[in-house]
Amino acid sequence: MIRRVVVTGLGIISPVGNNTEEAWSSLLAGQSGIGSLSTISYPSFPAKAAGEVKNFNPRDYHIKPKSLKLMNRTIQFAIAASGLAMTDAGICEETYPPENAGLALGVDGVQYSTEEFLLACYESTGKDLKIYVSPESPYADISIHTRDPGLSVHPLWSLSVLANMSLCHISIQQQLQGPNLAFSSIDASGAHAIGEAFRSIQYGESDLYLAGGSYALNTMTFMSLSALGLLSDKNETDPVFDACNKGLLLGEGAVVMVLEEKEAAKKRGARIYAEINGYASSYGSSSFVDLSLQTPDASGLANCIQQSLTDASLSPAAIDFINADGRPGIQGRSPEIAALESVFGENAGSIPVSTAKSLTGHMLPATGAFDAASTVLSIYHDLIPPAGRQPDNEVLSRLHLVTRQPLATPVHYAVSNTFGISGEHTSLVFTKHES
Amino acid sequence: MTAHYADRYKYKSKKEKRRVVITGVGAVTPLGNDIESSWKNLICGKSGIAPITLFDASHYPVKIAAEVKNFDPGTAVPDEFKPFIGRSTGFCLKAAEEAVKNAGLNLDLIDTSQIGISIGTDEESASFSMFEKMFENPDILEMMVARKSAAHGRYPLPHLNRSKPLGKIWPFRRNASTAASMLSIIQNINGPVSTSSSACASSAQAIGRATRMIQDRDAEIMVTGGCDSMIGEFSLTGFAKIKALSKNNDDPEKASRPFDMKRDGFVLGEGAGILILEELSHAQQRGAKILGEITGYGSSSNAYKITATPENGCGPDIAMKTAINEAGGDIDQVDHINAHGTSTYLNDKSETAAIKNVFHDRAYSIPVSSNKSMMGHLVASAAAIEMIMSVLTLNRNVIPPTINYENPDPDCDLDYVPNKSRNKKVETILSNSFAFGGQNASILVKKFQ
Repeated sequence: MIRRVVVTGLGIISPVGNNTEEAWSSLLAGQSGIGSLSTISYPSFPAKAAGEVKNFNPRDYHIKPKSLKLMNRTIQFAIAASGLAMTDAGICEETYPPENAGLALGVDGVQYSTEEFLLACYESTGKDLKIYVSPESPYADISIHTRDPGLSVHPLWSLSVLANMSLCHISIQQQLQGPNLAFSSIDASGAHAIGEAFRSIQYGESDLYLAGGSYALNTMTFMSLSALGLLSDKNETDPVFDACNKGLLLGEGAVVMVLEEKEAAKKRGARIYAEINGYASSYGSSSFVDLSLQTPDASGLANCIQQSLTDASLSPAAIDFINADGRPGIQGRSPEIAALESVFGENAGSIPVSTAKSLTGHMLPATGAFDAASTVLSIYHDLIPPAGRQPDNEVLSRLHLVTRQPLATPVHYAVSNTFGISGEHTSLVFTKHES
Repeated sequence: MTAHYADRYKYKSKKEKRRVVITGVGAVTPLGNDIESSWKNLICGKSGIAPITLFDASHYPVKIAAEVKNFDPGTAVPDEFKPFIGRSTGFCLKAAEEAVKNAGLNLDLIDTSQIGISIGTDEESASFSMFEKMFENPDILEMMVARKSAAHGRYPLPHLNRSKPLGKIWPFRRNASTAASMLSIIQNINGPVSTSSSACASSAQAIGRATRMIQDRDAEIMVTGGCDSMIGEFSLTGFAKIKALSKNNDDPEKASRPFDMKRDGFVLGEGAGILILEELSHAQQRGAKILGEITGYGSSSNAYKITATPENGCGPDIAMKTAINEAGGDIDQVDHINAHGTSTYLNDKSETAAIKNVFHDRAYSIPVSSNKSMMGHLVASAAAIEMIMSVLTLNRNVIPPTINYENPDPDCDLDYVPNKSRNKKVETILSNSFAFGGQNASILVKKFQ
């Protein structure tokens, strides 16, 4: 027997707010969280702006000072969002036995910063990496930075950089001894984690899951992505679905949702935001490898959306809100529009579409989870937030993009798409819960 | 509104859980660059551990590792992709090629949207040489300078042209998901793709999720397993700093000694293991040779400490119990345990306790062995390779030994198959993987009947 799964708690740490209410009202007001890069910045970095998390103090989230030493910002965000989600869901330690409570997170593979890496190498070998960097190199200032006297890495530093360390800290704080899963594709993994948690509850592996994604801005990702030419040096994001991608602006944050088996949630009288009932992931053409691709193939994206609808046993006609990925096209129009047109046919132009990316920046592994959370909130409040900057007329003629004002409309069935830079796509389907 | 999915639930609940079988395996290990040579050396009790040759390790407290020797990806990696891939992705593609061939799959004839990929891996280990190459790469520098100087207006994105040699592009190589991406591009697989990263349990979780994907009808075939190459300045610095590595530099072959009293840490290894999992009727219809069946998978977390495993084994035992419960709950069915057995003081003690928590008195009569005594710790790929060795054990009825077992430890008092492989008929094997930080996964694999 396949069980049903509901969303009962949300925890959000994001560029547009460090709790659900704040983030949601910023989205509705179309208030951007993008600002000039301050937490990490080098004069030579091409990227100048990002969606940074503001006013975040890890001490606000019941983290022991001793443990804090072992936590990078990714872990701090994840643990904060998890705590917020559990409180929001009204779950305490006795609600579920620990072995019946699981955790699934989308996180960056190995989370060290360039400085830490250089420092650790310097400490262990006595070699200064400056020998590898010419003074003309755009990275020369990073190397200088690492020679500050008195800097050294924590002896247990290597533990803090492993991808599963967020799981470790959260499972200790929240007493989750059930399935613990970490996913690390570049950017679809947050949505992926939610999808896998959903499956896991459906098939009875666990009754409760904390699922989502976390990412903190990091010099290493900046270096990687800018070396690939994927980052923008502008101060604002491109309009969604734009035909000319000037590059991504990164954001950071963590979004975690509480998923529960429906009957158990109802029994304990939980507030139910929405039901999750469809999930699919697929592999499509990879812009990561195939940057020369002139006309990106929309069939991988379409396949992913279609499969998630099939999984939810919904016909495309039932969908009344699409939380799109909205990434601008590499050269020419974004393939996502074509994918939506192929799945939704003539309805594609009338279903409301929105996305928060232009307000938050691309939060990499956390972005899919953020999209999922905002979709859930749209269903709960019957409100669709606007999609930030006004795109050109062609986009508006092909899609019913919500712009400027939030749209008040009943949202029963919504799909949330996250399409990865590296070609891993994920779609999630959420449904209104009617008691 | 419920009408929308009522049909589906009726449809799905009618059907039984689908069975998942293994139809192909492939491996690149410190003991050999394919299945047969790895297996041969494994049952002979040969060690793959030697002084580090991949870089100059003379400054490090640890100078030994289990490296893959004389690796040549051959036809597994088309020339145009060679610049994009690091060592670990190369292992993965080679092992996948062997596994696909071993399974007799012709991917041109099958609907590849029904085939998925689930790989457990960490990032390619960062090393000095990569930095050096990155800074040297004229493409990268030129492009960064171009982006920097063009402050306004449109300028073309630096489209990396496939036909042009790219040099060593480290950002590609460093990303954890590159192995899965490359695999799907090269083998033209379009189904669900995922990358799991839970340190030492990564590939066990990848195999577990792959099993679920087939059971839950998300895919018919899964290409799953793991790859890793942690032998680099970064990992050596990190793991040596937390004192997890063996410092037995003078006698490398004796360095990895799981369950032995004189164990002093694990030895870093590298390699890849890939399995082809298939839905039973799909495999039978195409007349595939069935190597074994996955009958249980359990995942758990210790929720204990960041730096240590619980001495009483509480945490790891949940994963083992869950896996056995899925297969009916009978502990007597388990004939052999392929242990995590890292050769660290804490893990081996904790694992022994966990096995006793699950099997009680029967624990003493189950042969428990650690492949890591010979292959070192392959971190993210360890579970996949150990799984493959367990599948071979099922088919060939030989249990690989735990080598270097010389001094009994009173806390570790099980039958560890010391030093010599053992001929024994084996029906069901439990394979354990426990990660730093407490993420555990156990998989139960059974002879197909």
